[in-house]
Amino acid sequence: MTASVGIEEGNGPIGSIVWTPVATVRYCTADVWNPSNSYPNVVPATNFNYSYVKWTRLAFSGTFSQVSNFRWYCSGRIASEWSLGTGGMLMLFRKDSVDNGCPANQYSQAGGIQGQTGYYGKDPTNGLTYYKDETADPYNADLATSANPFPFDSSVYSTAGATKALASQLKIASNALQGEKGGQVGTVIYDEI
Amino acid sequence: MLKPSLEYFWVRSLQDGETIETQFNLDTGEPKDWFPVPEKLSSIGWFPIYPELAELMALWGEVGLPNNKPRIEIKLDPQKITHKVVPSSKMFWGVADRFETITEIGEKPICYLQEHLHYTDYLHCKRCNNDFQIIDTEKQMECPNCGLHRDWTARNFELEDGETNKLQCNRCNALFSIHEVPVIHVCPNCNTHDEWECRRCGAKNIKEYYCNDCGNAWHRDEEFKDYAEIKCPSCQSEKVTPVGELKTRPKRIHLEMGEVRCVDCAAEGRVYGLNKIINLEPRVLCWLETKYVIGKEDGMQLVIAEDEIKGF
Repeated sequence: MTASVGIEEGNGPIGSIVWTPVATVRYCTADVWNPSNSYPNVVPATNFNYSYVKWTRLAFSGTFSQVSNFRWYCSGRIASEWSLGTGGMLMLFRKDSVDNGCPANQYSQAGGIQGQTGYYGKDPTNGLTYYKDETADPYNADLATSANPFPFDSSVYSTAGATKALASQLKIASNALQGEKGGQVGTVIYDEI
Repeated sequence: MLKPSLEYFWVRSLQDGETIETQFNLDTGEPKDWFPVPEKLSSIGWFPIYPELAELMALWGEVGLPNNKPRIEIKLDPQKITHKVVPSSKMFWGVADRFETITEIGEKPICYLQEHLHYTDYLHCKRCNNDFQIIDTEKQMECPNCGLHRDWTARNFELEDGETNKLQCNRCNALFSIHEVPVIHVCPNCNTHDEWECRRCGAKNIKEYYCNDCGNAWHRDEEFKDYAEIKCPSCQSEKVTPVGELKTRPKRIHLEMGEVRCVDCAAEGRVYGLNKIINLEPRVLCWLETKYVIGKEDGMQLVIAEDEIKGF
């Protein structure tokens, strides 16, 4: 048998996180999975603004032998096609010595000033508990292409469940272009037998 | 949830070269687990799904796509002796402090599906039914002064502040830095874009009500009030909304939270939000692309995709 799979986004406070099946991820300035046109990201006057952190994972169900080797990649052109400005990028958070993905019991809620900016995921005070003390800086998502996907879970699963969560966040420079942005294709890649 | 649609199924030949195991029972379609893997195999392959097997697979909830693609098969030497260096099984305080060599007989197969789950969004134009993704954003820019779309000229100016790149609107000739000009989505087929209407000050210009139940539209004499109890004269429905005046860019105030307000109402000292008419509907798309990997440990591997076969 082959596994049925889907993308899920995590929102809400620690202890009552809700994982919602989604087919796209909209970066915004609130901890919601379906912002529509509300909570747009804001181009800052100086320095950088951030989106709220997005937690996404792959859920799988059904009967199957084994799924493993979970990675993520994109077109490699997000920063330029979304015109995020000098130093702007989509960031992927990573760990120094274990899987880059975050186990469900280590999740922390995305925070920030709603409608203006998210907290930088590695902010010493308001950052993500699971990542803020790591030596490794966030990875530029544009480096994660099909030829060089970003690994986030090396576990091997043989029963229904979900992967560790990929934490990502937009970094927006002061010279970013404002306005509506086109869609980008994100891809989760995994092995199945 | 998405499930792979398979074009191939795995087939492995045991040591005798005659006995085979397949991913699906060829008589019933029942799926077989890849594990346990026999120690000695003489070949491994991805074979194309044929129509009768696809029908049997469907009985077990699996999707098979019959096709005439060639089978991909790799021979394995069941007698080949290989040596592997692994951490020693002799432990010292729970830690392997040395390594040892183990000997294995028979080449080991590599065979699995490489699944690519893609997700994205795109826009659907309600006017011309065109589905599209925005890529070239420069042509979607909207003049902050007059609201014109797409018609821009990039000009270089030597300005006192050192900024040299400016955009000039071909209609109103206003000059802007590129960072002052917002990008909006425009249908590449019919130039449609989302619009904003004010239902309050629109009373000055449009003077209509619209019935959401029967579609009737009729003249109104007074300015619309939120508390007005208006009924459709045709069907008596209370689901009535006033038709508003469309507001192009200079008539809109975009706030950080995503709220948009009416400039004309603000000039009258009234705070009034604009209603967005979504002509370009965001839609999402999620699909599974399946690739088939085959090879042997410490040897070449092949990745079979829809349109190519790659070795690595």
